[in-house]
Amino acid sequence: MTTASEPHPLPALRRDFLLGAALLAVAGVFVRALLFTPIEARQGAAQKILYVHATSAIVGLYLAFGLMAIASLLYLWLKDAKLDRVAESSAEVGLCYTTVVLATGPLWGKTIWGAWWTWDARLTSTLFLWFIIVAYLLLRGAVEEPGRRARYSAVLGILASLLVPFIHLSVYLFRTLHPMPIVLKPSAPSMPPEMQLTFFSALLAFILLFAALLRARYRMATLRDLAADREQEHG
Amino acid sequence: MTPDNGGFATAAYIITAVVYLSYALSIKLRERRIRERLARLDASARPPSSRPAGA
Amino acid sequence: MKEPHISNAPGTLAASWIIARKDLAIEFRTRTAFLSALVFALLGVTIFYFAWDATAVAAADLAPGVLWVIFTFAGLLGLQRSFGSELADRAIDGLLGAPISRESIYLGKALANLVFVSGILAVTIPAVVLFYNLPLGPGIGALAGIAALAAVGLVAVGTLFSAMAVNTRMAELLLPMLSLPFFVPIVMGAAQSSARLMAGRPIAEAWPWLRILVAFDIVFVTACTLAFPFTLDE
Repeated sequence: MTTASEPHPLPALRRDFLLGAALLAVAGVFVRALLFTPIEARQGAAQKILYVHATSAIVGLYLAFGLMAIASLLYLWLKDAKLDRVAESSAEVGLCYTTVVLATGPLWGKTIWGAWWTWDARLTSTLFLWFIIVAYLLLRGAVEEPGRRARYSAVLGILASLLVPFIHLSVYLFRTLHPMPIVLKPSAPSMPPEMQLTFFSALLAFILLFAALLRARYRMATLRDLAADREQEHG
Repeated sequence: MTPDNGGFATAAYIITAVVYLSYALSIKLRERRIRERLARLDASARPPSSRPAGA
Repeated sequence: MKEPHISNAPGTLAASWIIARKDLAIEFRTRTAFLSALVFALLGVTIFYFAWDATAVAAADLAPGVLWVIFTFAGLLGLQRSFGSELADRAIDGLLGAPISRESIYLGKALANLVFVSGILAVTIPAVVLFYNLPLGPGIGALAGIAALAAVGLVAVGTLFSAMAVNTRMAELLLPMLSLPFFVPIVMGAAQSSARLMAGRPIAEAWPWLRILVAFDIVFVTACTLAFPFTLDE
């Protein structure tokens, strides 16, 4: 039985230094990208959207979603609630990143393709990943018992990671057999050094932000589960 | 001829900033609400007569 | 995780068949779900016809898309009832207590769903041929084969998710939301390959899409069978 004099298992965080540092890093990258990186001649200033769009995609699709899938698999094997919280947190933070990708993608697409949306393989896969993560979070909301909630989410997480390659392949096939006009090829492989530096700084900043958001979200989940346990004890 | 589409870039960066900041804020707000709930639970669980002196 | 082998307990396939027969017997006693899904499918097929400008797009070109979209929604209707019957009085505990593997419960239910969905397709495909003036040729036989592949994929994923959704507060909304993203490769594969085959194109053109369908079926039947025991509370 806990008493009020026992400290909470987590320090009372009033200042999250990691998150603050990460946000500063991202702000710094914004300044560098918008003000100190040269404008690409063919695409214009809109090409700079790449620095937030592509980097958010890498972190959101591969890092966040991959972590969620791995944590789900490990949860089914080890049954540790911490893994479930990691999966849940990674999914939600990943949703945030995916939202950024889907919001910035059409803005960039309009300038290079002339159309807001062209059903290209990557953007479409991202869209479906977005739907699946929303479904994942709604599923979690609909199941009350924690053990069942964790198991169901883990199953969905693993199946979702199996689905994404299929969607990507299907849409790729769809596009190669239905050639669509592409005005300019988006990511030019040969970027001058200043642009490469901006890109990699952005990538690092967003990875740092991911770590900070993940940690904050994980802590919130831990506290939430603790509160739920306490409520159960008191009836 | 470099197209003049800086507006798109500005819009994209603003949206990006708004999304990430709002999300970070939402985590912190939710955490604060949970901490308040925990504090209330602890306060109601603590039987008033057995409070140790000076605690 | 394997139950100890009891000598007179049915093996996995036999147990699946028993469970499938039980489900189908219950279903055909009332037939309500089947008839409702069937009427839904037929109505949908006819409504879609009026959603397009018939002079701009030939009905025969429209048909594959309509067929497979209706197929997914009618399939969802059928899947909704899949685990519903066990919810009352915790009848599933009876199944769980029996000396059969957990996988056979899944396979049995999936098999019952497959029969259900195939029944709907058996009426809906001729209806589409009729209403959309599809030419009767070798493409129709291919259509049946594609329908079988698509039905297997739909039922594999849908049965698993209906097992999960039935235990939640918003089962009717959750099942479509969980399943529809997974139906996308099925619908694409089925629609694209059937469109080509019915237009008389060589099979080589449809082959990449058929491969996706087959691969999907193999991957997801396996994955869902393995995942099903985790959806049970024990």
